[in-house]
Amino acid sequence: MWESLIIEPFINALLFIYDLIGENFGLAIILFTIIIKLVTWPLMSKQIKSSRALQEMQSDPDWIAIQTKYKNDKDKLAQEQMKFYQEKGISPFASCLPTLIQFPIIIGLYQGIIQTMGNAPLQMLNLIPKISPWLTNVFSFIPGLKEPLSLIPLNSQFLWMDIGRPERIFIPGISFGIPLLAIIVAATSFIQTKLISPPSGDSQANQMSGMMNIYMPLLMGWFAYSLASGLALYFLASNLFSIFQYAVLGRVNIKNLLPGKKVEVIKKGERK
Amino acid sequence: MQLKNKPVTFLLISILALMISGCTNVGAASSWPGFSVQDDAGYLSFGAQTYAIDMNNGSLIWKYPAELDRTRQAYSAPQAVNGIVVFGDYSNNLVAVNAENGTETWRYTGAQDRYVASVAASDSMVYAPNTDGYVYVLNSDGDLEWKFKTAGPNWSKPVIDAQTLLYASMDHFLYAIDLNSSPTELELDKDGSRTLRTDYLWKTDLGMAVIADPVVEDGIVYVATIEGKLFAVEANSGEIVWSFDNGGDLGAIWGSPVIDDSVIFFADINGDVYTVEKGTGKQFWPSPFNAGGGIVGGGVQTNDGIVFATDEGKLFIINQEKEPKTLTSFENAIYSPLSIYGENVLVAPASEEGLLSAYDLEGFEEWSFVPAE
Repeated sequence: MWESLIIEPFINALLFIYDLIGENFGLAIILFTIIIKLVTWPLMSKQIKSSRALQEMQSDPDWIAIQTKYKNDKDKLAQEQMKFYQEKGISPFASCLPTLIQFPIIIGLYQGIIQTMGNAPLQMLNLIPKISPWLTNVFSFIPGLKEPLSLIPLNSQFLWMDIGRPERIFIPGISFGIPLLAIIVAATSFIQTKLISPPSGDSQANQMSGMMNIYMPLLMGWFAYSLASGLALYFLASNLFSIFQYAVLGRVNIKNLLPGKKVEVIKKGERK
Repeated sequence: MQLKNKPVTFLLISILALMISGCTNVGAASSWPGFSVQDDAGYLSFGAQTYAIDMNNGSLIWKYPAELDRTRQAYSAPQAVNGIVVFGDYSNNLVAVNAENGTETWRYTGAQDRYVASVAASDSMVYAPNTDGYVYVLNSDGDLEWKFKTAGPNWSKPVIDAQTLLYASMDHFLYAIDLNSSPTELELDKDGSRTLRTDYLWKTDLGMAVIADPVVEDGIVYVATIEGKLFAVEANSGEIVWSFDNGGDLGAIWGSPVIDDSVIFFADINGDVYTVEKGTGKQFWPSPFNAGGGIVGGGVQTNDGIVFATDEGKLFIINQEKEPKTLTSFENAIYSPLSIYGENVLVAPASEEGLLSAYDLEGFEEWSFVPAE
């Protein structure tokens, strides 16, 4: 069911975009990532707002008073917490539910890209039965669209890289290839986490946030280094678009990139 | 929750990284064994090793490289010619080894991508198609004589018919190159070498990518596409004599067609075995035979009929009267083309029980080759 509901539509959508933009798979990956991000934008907005509400709750005097009163009665504290959520109109699940919904979409996009690249016989064998002309048929009024199976094999060249292989730049005089795309992916991951991770009054939360600011960019960089460059392109497009999303929602402060005290982004009308 | 333990957090993230890497099948075999038979020896490439195997008893003659190199990946069927065995790998190397003992004779590293198809050989020349779009032509010392560029990756083996190289590419075209005339005017290629040959006798558009190895008989080339269409093309002119696709009902064809007298047998990845008349392309059986599992590798001709193998591990034989008989079943999928040695059918199931097995036409195993490591 996962294959037929998520993977196959994603593969065919990628092929459709690839055909539409003149058979450039790198651009198709970037465009498809942006489309998915736009489709899930409402969920993302809701998640950001809910996270903000949960954060503000931590410094609400009424909530602090409840915590102090029931600090020795965990059951009662939990009950009062749920009552507090209801009174203030806060949904704790609204901050994580959008992520849960987006997660299969992101994994599907990831697997769809890998399977569409089809750069080895087993991958190609698995890809071909999944290709369907349904999108081409729906948009048959667009001139020049090809039968999707005829697009195979895909043109895997994008700029200096082969989309189906890990990216490296070879500079004369240097004996090894430089993983430029992996470096850019790690850097944009770092920038993204720094810009959008809000500071907290809780030192432990800040410690965890600090660890994630290091580990996640390293992890993303490792993926971009070892996997096909098509996936690295997806990571890069995703990072840049996420930064853009947060900027549009007014949740980005460039000063957070600098060492030192972090600045909270407070929109007009919001209370600290 | 208190997260004071940085090493634990790092370990959890590392495990996540490995799991996601696993989702991409990084490091797993990306193809199936490539195999060919020459005289009394069979040559098989699968993953890190290439083996020479005695066809009489399944014993190992030699393996290459002698020391296991786990970073090496090779799947194209090795080809024996004039005392050497030639095969390509996924590190863009084309290697020739001594057929007697497996020691390396020469190595060509000029290709820009992996070798998926096996090479063709004739008159001491080696014709090596590569995923970079070139067909490299080398002499018996491994020196590049010339190369020919197609517009797409090359995953099928060339065939040679009376001094004409016939080659089907994933760029949708079937090419014919004259081997009689040595190219007097080679052109400059983008790497600065004057080795590029651009002339050809003809090229014919087949409409879709070709992965199956073409077959030539009596001046006609039989070639199938991933669209599920079988073509008969005149080797002299490139003119399409006939084509067959069962009204568009065929799945992709990966295996070479098999010619049995005046009837051609071929199968698609849906597991349907078709027969057509060789001269006209008209359907021989009124309907295909469904094998119950997809068929990827080409079949092989025997005295009792044509043997095929499915991706559900079934090995079966079928004759022109459409009488099927199951020979045996494997637990693994079989994607590799079948071969024949004497009365035995050779199957490469790539399982722990046997990398290569020989079965008689009653379905009894004659021998099985299991690598030592």
